[in-house]
Amino acid sequence: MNQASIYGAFNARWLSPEDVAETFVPTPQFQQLVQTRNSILMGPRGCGKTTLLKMLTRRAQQRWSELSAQVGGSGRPGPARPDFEAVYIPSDIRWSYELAAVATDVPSLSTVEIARVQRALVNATALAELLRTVEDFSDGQGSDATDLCKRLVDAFTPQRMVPTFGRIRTALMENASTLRSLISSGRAGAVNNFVDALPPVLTGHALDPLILCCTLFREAMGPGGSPKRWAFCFDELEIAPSWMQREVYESLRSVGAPELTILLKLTWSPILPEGVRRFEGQSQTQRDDFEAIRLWQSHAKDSAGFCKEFAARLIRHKTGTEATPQQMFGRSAFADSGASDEARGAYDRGGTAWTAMVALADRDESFRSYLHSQRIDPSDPSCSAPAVRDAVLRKVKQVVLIRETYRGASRGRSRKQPQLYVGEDVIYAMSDGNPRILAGLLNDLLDRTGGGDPQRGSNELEPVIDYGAQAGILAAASRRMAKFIELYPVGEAPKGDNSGVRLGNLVDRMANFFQDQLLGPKFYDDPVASATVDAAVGQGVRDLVELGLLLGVFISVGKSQFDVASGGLVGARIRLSHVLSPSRRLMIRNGRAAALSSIVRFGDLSFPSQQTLFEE
Amino acid sequence: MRIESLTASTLADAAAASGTIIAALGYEARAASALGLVEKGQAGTRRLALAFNSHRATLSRPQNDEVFRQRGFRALHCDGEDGQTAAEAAREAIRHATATGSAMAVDISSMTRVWYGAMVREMARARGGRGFDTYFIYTPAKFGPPPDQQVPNNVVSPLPGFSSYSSPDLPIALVLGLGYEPGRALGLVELLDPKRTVLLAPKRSDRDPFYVEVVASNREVYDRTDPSWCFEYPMGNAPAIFRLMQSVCGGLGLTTRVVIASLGPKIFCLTSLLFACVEPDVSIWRVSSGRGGTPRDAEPDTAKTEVIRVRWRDELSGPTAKPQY
Repeated sequence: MNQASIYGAFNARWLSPEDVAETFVPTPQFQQLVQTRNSILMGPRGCGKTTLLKMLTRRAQQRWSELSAQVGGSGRPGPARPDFEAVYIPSDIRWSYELAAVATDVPSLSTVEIARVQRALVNATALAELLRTVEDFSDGQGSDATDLCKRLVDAFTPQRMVPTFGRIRTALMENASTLRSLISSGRAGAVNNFVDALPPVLTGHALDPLILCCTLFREAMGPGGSPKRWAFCFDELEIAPSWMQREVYESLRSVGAPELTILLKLTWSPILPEGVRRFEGQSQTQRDDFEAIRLWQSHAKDSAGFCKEFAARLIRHKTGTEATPQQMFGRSAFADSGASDEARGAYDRGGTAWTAMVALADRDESFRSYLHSQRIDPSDPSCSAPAVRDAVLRKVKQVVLIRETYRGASRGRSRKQPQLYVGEDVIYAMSDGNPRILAGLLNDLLDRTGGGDPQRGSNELEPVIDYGAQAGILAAASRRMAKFIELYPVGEAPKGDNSGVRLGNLVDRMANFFQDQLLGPKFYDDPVASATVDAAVGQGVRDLVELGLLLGVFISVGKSQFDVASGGLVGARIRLSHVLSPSRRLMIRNGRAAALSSIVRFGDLSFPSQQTLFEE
Repeated sequence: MRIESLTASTLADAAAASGTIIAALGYEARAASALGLVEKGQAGTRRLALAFNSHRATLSRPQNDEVFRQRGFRALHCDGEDGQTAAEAAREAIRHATATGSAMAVDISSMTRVWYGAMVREMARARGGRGFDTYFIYTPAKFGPPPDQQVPNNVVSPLPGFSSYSSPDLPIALVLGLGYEPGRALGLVELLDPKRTVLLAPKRSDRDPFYVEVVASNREVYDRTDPSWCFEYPMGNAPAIFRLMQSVCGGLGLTTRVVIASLGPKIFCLTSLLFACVEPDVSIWRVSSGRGGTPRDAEPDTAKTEVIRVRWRDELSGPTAKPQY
């Protein structure tokens, strides 16, 4: 398996629906997605959008049923079943870039003509996928299927042919291939002539060919022989041509006909689409036209259940053992673990948290003063009062551990890899619940240690993969993410913007600010670890924030795990992905928020062209 | 036009056959290495220079301006990202070639990929007539250390004219011709998120310093790529590179959509463009710093100059009609 991407081994786009079903872990979000309504799956790269869309399809559902039956029907919990026929319509970034390249490859085409060419290419792809589904559904229906194929030939292909599903799909692809050749020839006239000769439905509205196909299906097969409802699942719509985005999102309001229900299952980045936000006077609400389904986790505890099951399956698959994630990776003194901390006596005399606090208080005047202000003895910061343990000790634990580990001359230069960011909880938190990142981290940990020492794992102090190895591997993963941010191609600065600000600059500025809150001269019990995008931030930085959200570099922090920012970017609260925490020495917690504009101003003045970062 | 054959050739053959010479006029010292052709070439040879609008006073540019002027080159001023001027120069050369039966010589040593990409595209798009030969000339630079600083990937896109527009129903396979600028490869891998990554590193010998730097600069990509998909290609043998591409991409094309990106020597990029003329389902992408790059001189290593003759024909001729690469 190719591992060149920072996301490691897992990408549902490479997998067939059957393969997706093999490794599927049901989530509450899938329960939402199967409902008979329009949905927008929102989240960054790798969060599972493609997986969920593919799981809606007939092939994935059939495979899931087979797997459930193999385990005696009681093994795998069945996910909710969709009451519609789903059609997965693929896309990817290469497709997006190349559709845009029509304009440069045939420069004499007008904007309208370019869009027509794009429509012809996109519709051919979408229709071919729908025909695959139609064929699966109508398999074995004899003369009705032949009648349907004749209608499809009449509607979608200018050529006469033997009416079979395979021939129709081939004809669509051959037409697309001819169009591609003409584009490559650069001859605008030939391109336009060819497009003009196509059935008009193939260069019309983004949904027209699909709806027509479903209508013909119903007419040929009758109501009893065709699905009551269809769902068109558009993947990566956030990078589709603008005309397609507009037409698909406008269709959220009304699509289909009284006798033919069409649902739309779409994907988008963590911020709702511009087209949706800007509808004036029509207020496309989540409640009425679609459900926004959030696929990212902004609070570490929210993803723990999914991550634990995912990790358990992956361990079983790779090691052939039934070792639990806790046995493999142990627990971290660093993670916020509430009751578990108490059970382990972390805050009792001699406990991990207590020891760190004593050590820090011994050399950190600011922390000592803080403890005094809370009426806690710095030489013995134990307290039996639950209220104090909650309000003070548990609250400052992460800050203390980071400060104790990294602050001070000898600490900073220590060659030994600190074992702060280790353990099951930290791995889950670093992934932010993103399946692809989680798979990458787990694969790295298992592959690079050969699965660890199976003799270990009987207690959390000696996990199967020792903490030292984990610390090195997770730190390396964190550095890789930082490098990925630095290297991600973002394009040249827009005309007139000489700021030279890149995503990496913004991430650095935020990380430095948050790190200063933790390691600066003053001890903060509630340090700033997130940012609110305020109105003072200029468009350049807002664009970087949107890109960062799409890439999963920034995480949108809502009020709850279901909260979706619906008012646009301004006012949204964001934090850095926890995968950056080891390399940037940051907490695994959302922390208090500060205005992004003040964070961007932080530090030295070498941050380029600051005046272009802010609104006039 | 289709490629009937792609074979190694010599400067002498190129000089004797070519009625038009096209070269790049820029700040690199090797920009003038094509001029040796002129002195050996036919009388009345047409001489066209694609002259960079930028960096007119940088490094060897002032001297190159004078040398090209003295040699009778007609300067066509344009930006490095402007393919239209290069395409027009190619069309002019093609018209002359088909009218006179002479060949054209194109020195790509100091050209941008957009320029020679545009010219290859024009050659592939040409129609009618007897066909023509093109001699592509490439003089590598003498080895110099890679840049100290990582230069950002500002320009990432399909090379104009080389998008395949293949439907996204198959995963992507990314075939990377590696260079020694750190970070380029990883950035493109992260953007395209391919199912399969293939690494091709240029190598002249085991002690080739450029090869050593390429491997070191791309250590991270190597670490995360299946070793069975890491290859070396021979510098100085474009036909062998072409055949390697056929071999690698032939199998990949059945289950993936292939993207080739050249991050290293121009001869690899040129070969990939010619390969895409034969295999139109392959897309050619580019990664660069755009305007963010710092000018670096390139002294010509003339002992390693390579010449490739490409024979273009409107229809494959001969009883077997089988191309020869």
